Amino acid sequence: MTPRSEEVLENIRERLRMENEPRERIDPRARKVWTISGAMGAAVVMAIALAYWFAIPALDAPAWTGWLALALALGYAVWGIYMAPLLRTRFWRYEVREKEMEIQHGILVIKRHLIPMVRVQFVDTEYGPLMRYFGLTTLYVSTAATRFAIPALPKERAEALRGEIATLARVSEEDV
Amino acid sequence: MSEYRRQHPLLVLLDTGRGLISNIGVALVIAVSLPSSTFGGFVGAFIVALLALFALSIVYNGLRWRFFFYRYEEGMVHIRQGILFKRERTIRRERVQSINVYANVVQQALGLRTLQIKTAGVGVDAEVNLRAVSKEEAERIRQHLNKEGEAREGGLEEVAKALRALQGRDLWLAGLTSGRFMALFSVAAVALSQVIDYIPQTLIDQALARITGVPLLLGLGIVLALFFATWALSTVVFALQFANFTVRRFEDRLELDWGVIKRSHVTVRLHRLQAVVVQQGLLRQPLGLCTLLVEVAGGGAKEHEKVSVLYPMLRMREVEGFLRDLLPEYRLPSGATRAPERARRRYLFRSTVPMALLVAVLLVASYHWNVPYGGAALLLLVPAPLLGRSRHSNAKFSIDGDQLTIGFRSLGLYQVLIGREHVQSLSLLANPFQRLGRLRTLSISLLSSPAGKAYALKDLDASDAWAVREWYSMG
Repeated sequence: MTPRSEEVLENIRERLRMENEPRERIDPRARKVWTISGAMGAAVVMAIALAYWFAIPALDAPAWTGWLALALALGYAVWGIYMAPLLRTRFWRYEVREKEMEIQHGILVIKRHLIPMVRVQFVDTEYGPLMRYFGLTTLYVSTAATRFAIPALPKERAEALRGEIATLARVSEEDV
Repeated sequence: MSEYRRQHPLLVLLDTGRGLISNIGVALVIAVSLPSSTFGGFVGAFIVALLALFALSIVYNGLRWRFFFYRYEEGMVHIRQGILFKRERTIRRERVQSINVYANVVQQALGLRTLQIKTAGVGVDAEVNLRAVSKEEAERIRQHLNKEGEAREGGLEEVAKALRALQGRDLWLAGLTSGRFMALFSVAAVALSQVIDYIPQTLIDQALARITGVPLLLGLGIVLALFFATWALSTVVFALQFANFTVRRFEDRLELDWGVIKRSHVTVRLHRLQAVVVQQGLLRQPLGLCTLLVEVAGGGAKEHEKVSVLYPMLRMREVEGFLRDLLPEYRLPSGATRAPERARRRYLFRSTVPMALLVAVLLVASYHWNVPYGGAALLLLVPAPLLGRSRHSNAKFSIDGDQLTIGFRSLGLYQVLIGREHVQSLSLLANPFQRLGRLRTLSISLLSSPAGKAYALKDLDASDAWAVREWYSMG
């Protein structure tokens, strides 16, 4: 690769990142969780596509639709098992400061939310069976109008954060 | 005032009357299900069932009235209710978010009012709902709970700091430009087209035979007549709804009154006010007119409990003075930062491509089913890019001290004035194309009735969007 094209690539990479990303990453085990749940979703989609493929003679549909269904299911599998978990773990960041917290997430559309501590109304933690197997917990932060999540934190970290945020989120009287 | 009292006994009749319609339905079901010989056939059974239901509901509503008490003293309202399961509730003056007084036609004729007291809870229904109190009693309770009640106990009467009323020609102008006839017109047009289907074909043929040569003109005439009729009707409805609209500013709250047939009175505590919206509808913008709307936290989810109109119609040049007098907490921005030039094609894409797809579908469909004038769908392609262009040039924001103002066009033109302390959270969003073009979507969440609400501004320059984030950030 020529230095010039490398420069162009680097420029594109830089643009695709958000500026001043929040400091902390989520637990790398999150990717395993998403890969597994993605694989389960992909298996269901693949099963449906296969069922359609086998049913084509009975349905009297053109053969290419069967191949199309299989191709779509395969594409979905690649996306759900590899791409989406990769991008998700790549972009998911958070940072808790004294007066505010920041969460960034997304797969294609990257969203970053700034939540002042005084606006936080509740903090709760939640985990499903898969998350629990890996010792991970999702932390939810709710304001009066919105709810945000930091997924896949180690259990102890999530509980510590929950306490920390709850203490920092002083309820101010004059606000609704 | 310290003894418990009941609401007006007429409540029993009001509630029974309200339940009448649903009772008719139930009575029909009962009448149908009874053996046909009882009570002399269907009609007899229906009347007997209706009377029985009526008696039952009088007894039930009577008991409800008999066991519903309220009391107010020293800045508190107590409610005690329940026939079997007793429930008591106390609301303190400081917790009251809004007090609404309503009267429908029947209540007005009887001199009664509905009084609702709401606190900041997220529940849909009012915390206290007195549905039949005399006009004077409603006023007494309201004053008791207002700060003004505290002053009155000391013998002082509070005067509004500023007042504004919509009257005379302005009211009619507001009605004419409300744009409500568009919805009414389309409903009427659809209804009419349904009616035409039911007219026997022979009749239509006869009618057409008499007026041969001008069917197109006739059709156009009908549409035009319908257009003006719905416009006039919606204007009158608007004028009746918003007649005598007054807004008064007190130290800690706004009080709004409006309506002739249905009088409404709404109190909005200032700390409930989350944002002011200057809305210029399509009909109002060319005339330099606008509507002032407000986003209010708390309050109910039902339409009539929502406060959204701060002032039904105002000239754009009067907005500044209006805010200075009634809401000095908000002001119109002086300058603005706009979406950059390079964002224009994204705006054009968003407004044109979905429309082009729709037109393509319409064209294919009309060709397939042989609809005449199907090509007219192409006309839809003209306004789409114009809208996109206008949306791009009207996407802007401005920061003045603690106030953020965002301007955008959906169909009408909007300016949303938000104080920093009312922004619940701020988000920056970017899809891969936006990231490559260094563009960001800015989204502001605020509290609104009944749930949260977000205002978004698409495709701002990344550094401009970052500046808004910095403004909101507390470090």
